[in-house]
This record gives sequence, C-alpha cells and structure tokens, in this order.
Amino acid sequence: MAEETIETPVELERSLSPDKPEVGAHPAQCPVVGLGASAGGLEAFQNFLMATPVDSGHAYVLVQHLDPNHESMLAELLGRRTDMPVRQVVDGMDIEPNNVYLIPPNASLVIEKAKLRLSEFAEPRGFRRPIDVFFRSLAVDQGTNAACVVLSGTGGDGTEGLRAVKEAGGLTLVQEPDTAKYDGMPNSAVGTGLVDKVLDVAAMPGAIRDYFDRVQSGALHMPDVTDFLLKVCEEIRYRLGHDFSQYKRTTMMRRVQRRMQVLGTATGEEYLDRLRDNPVEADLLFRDLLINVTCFFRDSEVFNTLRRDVIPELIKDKGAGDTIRIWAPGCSSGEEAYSLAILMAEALSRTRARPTVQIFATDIDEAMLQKARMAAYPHSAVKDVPLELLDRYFFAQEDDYVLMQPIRDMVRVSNHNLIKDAPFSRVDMIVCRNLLIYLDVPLQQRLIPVFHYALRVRGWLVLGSAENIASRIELFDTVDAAARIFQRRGAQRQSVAMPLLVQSLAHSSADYGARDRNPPAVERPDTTVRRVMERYAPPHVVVNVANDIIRASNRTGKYIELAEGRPSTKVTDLAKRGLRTAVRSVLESARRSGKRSIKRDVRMDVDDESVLVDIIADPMSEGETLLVFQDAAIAKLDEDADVDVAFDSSDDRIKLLEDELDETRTKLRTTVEELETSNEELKSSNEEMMSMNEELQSTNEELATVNEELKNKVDQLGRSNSDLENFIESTEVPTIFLDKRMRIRSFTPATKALFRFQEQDKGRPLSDLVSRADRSQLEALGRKVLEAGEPIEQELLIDEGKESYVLRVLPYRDLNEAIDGVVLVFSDVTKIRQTQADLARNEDIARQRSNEIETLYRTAPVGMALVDRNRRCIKINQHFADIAGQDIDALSGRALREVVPGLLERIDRAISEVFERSEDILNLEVTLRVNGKPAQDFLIDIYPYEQEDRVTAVGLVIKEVTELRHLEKELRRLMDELQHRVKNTLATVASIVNQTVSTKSDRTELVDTLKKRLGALAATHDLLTLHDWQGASLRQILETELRPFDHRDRIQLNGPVVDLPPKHALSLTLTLHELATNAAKYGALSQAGGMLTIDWAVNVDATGRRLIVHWIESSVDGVSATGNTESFGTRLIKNAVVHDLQGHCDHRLAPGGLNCTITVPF
Amino acid sequence: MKSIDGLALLLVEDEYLIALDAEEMLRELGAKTIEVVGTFEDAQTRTSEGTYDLAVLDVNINGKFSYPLAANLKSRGIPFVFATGYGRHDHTLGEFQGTVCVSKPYTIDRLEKALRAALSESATA
Repeated sequence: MAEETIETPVELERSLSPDKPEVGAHPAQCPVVGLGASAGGLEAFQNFLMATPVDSGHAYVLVQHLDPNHESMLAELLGRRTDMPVRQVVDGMDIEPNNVYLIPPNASLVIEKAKLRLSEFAEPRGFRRPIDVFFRSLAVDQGTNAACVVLSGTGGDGTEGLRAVKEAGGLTLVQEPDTAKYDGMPNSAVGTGLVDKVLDVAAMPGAIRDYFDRVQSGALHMPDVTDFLLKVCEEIRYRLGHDFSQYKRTTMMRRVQRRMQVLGTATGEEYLDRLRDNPVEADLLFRDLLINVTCFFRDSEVFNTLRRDVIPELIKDKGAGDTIRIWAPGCSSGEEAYSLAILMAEALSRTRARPTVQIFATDIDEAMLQKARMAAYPHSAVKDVPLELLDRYFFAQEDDYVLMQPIRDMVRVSNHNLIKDAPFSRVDMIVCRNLLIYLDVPLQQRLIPVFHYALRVRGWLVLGSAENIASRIELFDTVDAAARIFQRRGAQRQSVAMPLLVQSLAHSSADYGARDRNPPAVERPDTTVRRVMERYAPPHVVVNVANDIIRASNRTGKYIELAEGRPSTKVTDLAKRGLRTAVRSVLESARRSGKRSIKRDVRMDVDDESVLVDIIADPMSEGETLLVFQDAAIAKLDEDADVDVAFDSSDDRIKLLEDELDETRTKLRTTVEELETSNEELKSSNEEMMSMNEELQSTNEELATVNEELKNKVDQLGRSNSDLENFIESTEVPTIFLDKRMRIRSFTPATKALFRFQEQDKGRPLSDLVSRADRSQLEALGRKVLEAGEPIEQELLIDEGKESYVLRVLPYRDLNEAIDGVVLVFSDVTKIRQTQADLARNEDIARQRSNEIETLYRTAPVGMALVDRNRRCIKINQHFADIAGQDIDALSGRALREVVPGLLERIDRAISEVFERSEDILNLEVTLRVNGKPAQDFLIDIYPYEQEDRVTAVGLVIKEVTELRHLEKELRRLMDELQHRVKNTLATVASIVNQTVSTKSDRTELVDTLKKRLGALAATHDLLTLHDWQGASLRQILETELRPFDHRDRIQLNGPVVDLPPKHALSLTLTLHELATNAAKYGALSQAGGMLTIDWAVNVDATGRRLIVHWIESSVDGVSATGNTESFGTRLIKNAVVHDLQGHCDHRLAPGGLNCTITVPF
Repeated sequence: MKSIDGLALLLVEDEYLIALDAEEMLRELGAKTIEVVGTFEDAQTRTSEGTYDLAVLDVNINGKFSYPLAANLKSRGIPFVFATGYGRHDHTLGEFQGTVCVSKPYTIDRLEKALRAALSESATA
C-alpha cells in the first residue's frame, strides 16, 4: 500500500455495538450460563459442576464436541458430580433454574425465546462450531441475562460466540489456559481481548453468581449520571485521546455499568478512582465501548441492493485511469470493507473496464485495525459468504480464511477519527452502518453534513438499518429507504466545522500523557484578512530555517500529507511525493537568493489524475519562508522581475523513464500472474489439506472425549468391582453364583457354614461338593429358575430343623439381561424362627392374661373404670354400668361427669392427685344418689395406670357399701347392748354379793347361798342364750329352779306355754329362786308332807296382757311369820317384780303354807 | 370438798338389785332422801317436777336412752351423773359428752367421786 492519495491525514472512528431491539427480548426466568468445551471438557465440566451450588438459581447449558455416531455418556458421568438434574436437551425444552442441559450428539443447539432448539448441522463434519452457534444465539436471545464460559479444547470454537455474548452485554469467562487440558480454545478466546475474567474452573461459579447478584440487585450507586459519565469521558480522553462525550448516554452508561459489575465496584466514585489509578482500566473500558461484531455480508439484502442498484452505477463510465473511492468509517476488523471489495471485484470481473478501486477502511481502535490489516478471519465470520465467493477470494490458512491479495490491495486500512479528524473527499460511496446509533442526536446531525462534504456529487451514502440522515433531506435523496441508501444532492459543498490540520497534527503527535491544555496562541489576523486568507489566498505554509512548518493555511491537504513512520513537521517530509524535490529546490533557491522563488508546472498525481502545480517560496523575516502552492490551471502570477522562475523541464527524461516503467510493469504483471496461478494451486491443495486437517482434528477431539468418557467409565467399573469384592468378602449372607450348568462361578465366604468350599472349587459342579444342604434339591431349584426365569423362594431345614434358612434362587442376568446362571442366596432364619415361636408363645400368654383381666373386669363384684386425663371413661365394666344404671355399650368413651352425675365433683381432686403423684388413693367414701335411688354409700379406690413412666389414666374401683354400713351400725348397736347387759349383769351380781354378804355371817352358808343365787341367774342366762336372748319358757325356768328338790310328786306345775322376754325371765328367776329357797328352808319343801303347786295363766283385758303366777304351798306344819325383820330374800320377792316389771306381788302366809301371787304386765 | 350429806337424791335405775345396791351406797354416803325410779315414764315425771339436789341416771332404761331425762335435769339446774355400762367416754352421749359418768358396776368410792365431781361442776357452772 504504497500510495496514499488521501486529502487529509486520517484518524477514523469505529462503531460501538448497536442498540438492537431484539437483543435480550425473551429473557429466560433465570440467568443462562453457556459452557463450551471440546477435548478435556469432561474434567472441566465436572470441576465446574462440583463447585456449583445446587441452588444457584442459574441454568447451565453444556456444549461439547461429541462424536455424532456415538451415544454420549456425558449426562450419566456429570450427574454424579452434582445434585442438579442433568438432562440431554430435547427440542423445545424450557430453560429452568438449577438445571444442567447437555447438547446431544450430532445436533446443533440454539436458544430461541428461552427455549432450547435442536437442528441438524448445516455444515459438514469438521466445519461445525456448535459452541459459537449456541453462544451467538444465547447473545441474541438472552442479552445481558447470559454468561458464556470457554473451557478446555483445541481450535477456536467459542471465540466468535464469546464476542457476540460480550457485545450483547453478557458475562464472558475463560478457563485459565494453564489449567486447561487443552489450551487452544481458551487461548483463542483470550486473544479477543473481550474476556471479562480468566479464571480457574472452580472459581467460575462464584464469579458468575457474584456477577448476576450485582446485575439483579442493580445496586449501583449513581447520584448524578451525567456528571459521572462526563468524568469518565474526561478520563478516557486524558488517557487515550478519544472523546466519548457525545456518545449516546444510555449505551455509554450500560457499558460502564457492565465494567463496574465485572469489577464489583458499587459506586461511581469507586470506579472513577480505579479508572484514575489503573491505566489498564481505561483501555478495557475503551475496548468495551467499542465492541462490535461484524461479519462478511452482514444483512445480505443490503449487499444485494448494492450489487444490483448501486455498484453498476459506480463503475459505469469508469475506465482504466479512473478511481472509484469508497469510504467505510467505523470498519472495526474490516469485514464490511472487504465485503465491499469482493462486491467490487465481482462487478469489475464482468466488465472490461478496469478502474482503480480504493476502499478506505477507518476506525480508531488500533487493535481492530491490526486485525483488518491481517485480513484473516475465522470460520464464523465467513459463514455468510457464498461458497463460490469464498472459493474465489479466500484461501484457508490454519484456522482462518485469508483474503487474496487483489482484494486486500483494494482496501486501505487507517486510523481515523470520524468526529475529530478531517474527512476524506470526493468519495463515490460511504458505507457507514451501525455507527451513528451510538452517537447522540446533535453529533449525528453534525456528521451528516460531513458525509455530504466527503461525497462527490451524486455519491452514495449507506447507513445502518436503524439510522437515518437526521432529517437533512436538503442534502440527500433517498434511493432505497429499506436498505438505507441515499444519494448526495446539490453541487455546493457544505462548510464543515473541522479542526485545523496543524492542531490535528500537533495533537496526534503529542504524548497522550502530556496534556497540553494551553497551546501557544496562534497569531490571529483581523477578520477581513482572515477571510481573505481562508477563502481567496492560495494554500500556503510558513516554514523556519529548518523547514519545520510553523503555520499553515486552509486547504493545504492537497499538497501535504503525513508520511509513513515517525511524524515529522518538516515540509520537505510532508509535501506529497511529487512535490518534495520541487519544494526543497525552491526553498533553497529562495534562501540563497533572498528573493521569491517559483517552480512552475510541477506534476503531481492527485486521485490518479495529474495536475500541474506552481510552488512559490517567499523569504520573510527571521529566517521564515512563506511557501505557496498554486494549481497551475487556476492562476498564473505575473512574472515579476524579482521572481526566479524555473520550469520543470525534465519532461523528456521522464517520458523515457515512464516507458521503461511500463515495460517493466508488463513483465512484472506476467510474472505475478504466473506466480498467482501456481499460488492458487498451492492454495487450493492447502485448503484441501486444511479441511482434512479440520476433520481429523474434530474426529480427534471427539475421540478424546469418548476416550475420556471411557476412561472415566473404566474407573467407575473398577470402583464398582472393588465395591462388589468388598461386599462379597464382608457379607454374612451365604450366596452362591452358579453358571448355566450348575457349576460354581463364585461364592461368598459365609457360604462355608453350609458348604465346604475352597477357592479352587470355583468351576466345579455343585453336586460334587460336600454340603449340609440337600444338593440335589438345590440343583433342581436352580434348573427350575433357569427355565422359568422367575425367582423362587423356599425354606430349607438343615440338621432336622435345628437350623432354618430361606433360600432364594434368582436368575443371574448378564449386562444384556440374558439369563446366564442362577444365584442362590441363603438367609439364616434360625433365630427368626425361634423368635417367631417365642413370640407366638408370648402372644398366647398375653392373650390368656388379657382374657383373665377381661373376665375379672366382667365378673368382679365392683365397678371398674379406666379414666383418662380428660376424665373420659376409656374402659368400663358391667358392674360400673349397673351402678350408673346405664347400658355398658353407651358408656365407653363418655365423660365420667355424664356417666355418674355427681361423682366427679367428689373425686376430681383425688384423681388429679393420682395423676400427679402416681400413688394409689384408697377407700374414699362417697355418698351419692344415683338415678333417683335412695342415697347409697360407695367406697372408691383410685390407682394410677402408667405407660412409659407417665400416668396416662387412672383406674377407678367403686364398691356399693350401703348394706355393709348398715350392718356395721347394727353390730355396734348390738355390741353396745351386749356391753350394757354384761355390765348390768355384773352390777346385779355385785349387788347380790353385797346383799348376801351383809346378811349371812356363816362363811359356808354365805358361799352356798351365793352359789345358788348366781346359779339360778346363770341357768336362766343359759336358757335365754339357747333362744338367742329372744326369750325363755316359764316352765323351763321353773323346772330348772326346782330340779335340786327331789320332790316331784309334791310339786305341780300347771300353766300354758309362756315365753318370757329376757328382763321378765331374769327378774322372775330371782324372785322364784328366793321363793324356792324359802320353801326349802321353811316351807313346803322343807317337810316330808309339804305340797307346792305353781299355777300360771295369761289374762288379757282392756288394760293389757298380764301374766299371773300363783305360788301355793300347802300341808306345811308350823307356819309362822319370820319375825320383824324381813330377810333379803323376802324383800326381793316383794319388790323385784314391782321395780323391774311394774308388776305386783301378793305374799302372804296362810295356815297351810305360803300363798304368793305375782302379776306382771306382759 | 362437797359432800352429799343431807342431800335429796334421785336414782333412776331399772334393775331392782342394782338400784338396791346403789341406794344403800348413797345412804351410806349420807343422802338424806333417795327416790328410786325404775321406769322411764316415772322418771320423766320426777325429773320434770321433783325437787332434788343430785341425780344418778342409768343411761339405758328398759332399752331407752335417758338423755331426755338428763335434759330435764339440766334445764332445771339439777346436777347429775350418768351410770353407764359403756366406756367412760361413751360416744353415744351426744350433747351430754363431758357429763360425769360412773361406770357399772360401781363401787362406793367411784360413785362418791363422780357425785362430788358433778356437784362441783354444777357449782362452778
């Protein structure tokens, strides 16, 4: 690129990412993390998932290069490393949080409207880039809701996708290449310069969570956005010399916020500090601000329109000497510019005309420009290039497609700032797509006239789909509204406010760090002079003795340009190439002569046409010299005398040289064409090699994946095998594995309890071996299972039932589910059987006891009830129901209060106490009226019923004791009565003794009398006792009393049967005894002839019933009164019946003997 | 010490021989008059109307408790002792719990002690 025929030195602007409305329009319900890996991916995926919490709230989509013909085990292998569900993607699957989705083999995976979609690969094997494909769709579909992770792998898949994710505002992470098994993919991704973080796999989940947490909380503290952004712009301008202050605020803010989220800075202040302190940050932000994804033939309709409508117009009437100038500002890595070049080449190939094509690709990002200059692109960038064009204009080189030289020759890549720097001029077409949308409206409005200025009359302007000419319809006609193609109107160039060349130069050459805020004041002529200078004066510069340019006028760009290499301010370096010699000589001549010196008709090539220029050097004061350029066609100066005019008269020599040059050129072209032909062949075979290599590499990666999976599987099998071995060694369940022919395949050590197996018995028939079990039976069972394929279970008795085993015979199935033998499992159930027997016995006992208790409950003559804490009757017996006077079936579960009204109030406290202390309370006495019956006495026992050391209920035992109480009272009464009677009897005896003692002086007589008196009393006591103290027969009393007197024939007893009550009997006994004693001593019984008659009768009249007893003695001699003093006996006879029985005694001595009549009420 | 010398006494006792013995003891103790009653009805009349210095009541008279008689005496301020076959602190005494009792069969000494106690209680009442 030797030629530089550009009017002004260039610094170009490149585009920012467009605000595409469709980006992130369908966010899934959670952040979506895409992970891409190839060879070495299994390990990376496993490490990633192990470090991921099960409730991260994110969804993970894993894209791995898989062998299309091999079922993947990846889901199974990864599922062991995480508790999240790991599923292979099915077309149309929804994205849900905390799930892992896995690309299936042989399918292309994309995400659309938050659903995972599968399709067949469009590309042949070896050209597939499933990670790029998925990441790109992730970027478009999820925007800022996405994160992408590039992991281990060879090649460059994922890199372009990562670029897209970054552009859409998503998070981009890459595995630290040193830690990756294969570092190709990570290195390629890192090379974009767009990676947010390069991390260890294990640190990634945390970084992703932190990032989305910050995004979701949106907690960026930003009091004054405008002020903040201005400060940021200021900082970038200071560091890098680019002014972003007129960029669209929202876009700018989003980019800055994104950086803050990645860095984890919460406040604007903090970020500004970082920006100030860390020079790298300005670079990173700058890179972020300029992210763009571009590719060949982006928006194919636009290119179709260009090819169909615009380019034919462009090349119309253009011949070999003509130049077609196209400007692509904001070219980024150059895809668009090269697309245009391809279109032009295609168009030109169909015509005979061969005009020169110059495409100026400009941008401000030097890194991108460097890529554009390399003109090498990955597969993903060229995916929209039609195959025949790809064949024709690219050749494959390693991972990339490189543009052929003719196309590269058309494109001039240069650094140019659209906003700051002077525009190109006389351009045929400007293609500036998706750049304006990043700029605010005032800046857009300023740029449209710039385009107008740069274009030649009727030149074309092509803008992006969301851009417009900012209502400057007086400047442009709309050619195709849909494709945004416009055409310049009017012949007048617009005046464009552009910085002066000198200032640009000074600025561009200045060190970024040395901020020159006060440039030396430029001399300012007055307005008129300035106007004249600007409009009418020819372009000129003022130089010093060293030929440095001190000042310059307008419009010098036609003659002066920056040369390659280090910028110089010497006019001899800056003058365009055709002019340099002339400038040097005219300056020298002027200085030498001290007069004005002119060099006329100097030939200079401008845009491939030659113009003649006059150069005038005019010495001024202080060694300064004015150097004026005049187009020869415009004006001829008067040939003053003091002007030293020198014509450039070497034309002939030049003609000669040019002829030579033409010849050389023709030779060179032939040589070049030959070279190109062989080169083409080489390229084509190289391409084939490349594609084979691609396929091989891809197959290799897939094999590596399969290998890893298999290795992992083998490891697992090894582990399972070891587990199994351990299990077999340690299990206490005798188990035998037999093959189809009943030979021993394997057995557990526990089998030795039943069989005498040795290790070397493996392979021998079961029937050969010594066993305590019936081998033929085992074998028969084994064959049965082999045939039926169903397990059999049977109990085995060994040693006549001393030991019992449950034998389970199961089919042995190999991995293909085919039956390949049997498994015998012996479960020793001896103890279980014994326990079962014990259990049955215990159950019987328990049942018996339960029955006993039930019977007791049923038959006990007391009421029984079990009452819970709520005073409900849990259990109740018939007797209790009888006491309550209710049906037993109606009582169970009822409240005690309802069962026996009035009872609970009396014993509630006692029940509480029993619940509390768990001690019996016995013999509570309660008197109650139940069901209107007379009051009854009850005796109540309360005892605790405990379950697990806790009183859960109390038992009530209630006895009805009314009758008992009654009997007790009666008994007491009787006891009292008895005591009274005994004491009275004793008192009576005491009285008898007293009376007898006081009347008898002779001891023998005293004793005899006492004996007799007490004997009479005792005899009647005997009689009464004989009749339960109900009474005694009068006749018996008399007969007993008179028995000692053996005078039967002289004693007569006449009277009815009379039963005397006790008191009558005792009182009469005493009286009759004294009568008899007297009769024996003095009366009828004391003499041989005496007669005694006792008559008695019971009379009843109005006053009552009376007993009358007549004691008549007769035939007694010598009857006489016994003197004045009555004896005790006589006193007793006369008074006792009176006192005791309220009776009457008529005691009289008649001539024949005593007559005594006793009358007592009776 | 109080003496029953010269006092008029009422003796309620349904057993003739016991009454006889008691009467002799009372006389020996110096009673001026002793009225002996053997039935409840007679005793009712005497305790309501008769004039005595002191009375001895058998607790049980022909099967009847003598409390109404005691009530009569009490209301008229005549001191008395119960002669009882029951224990010294007979629970059946009811409202007359605390009345001086002499347990049967009694001796002259115990009878005298009881009578004196009844008299002095009556004097301090």
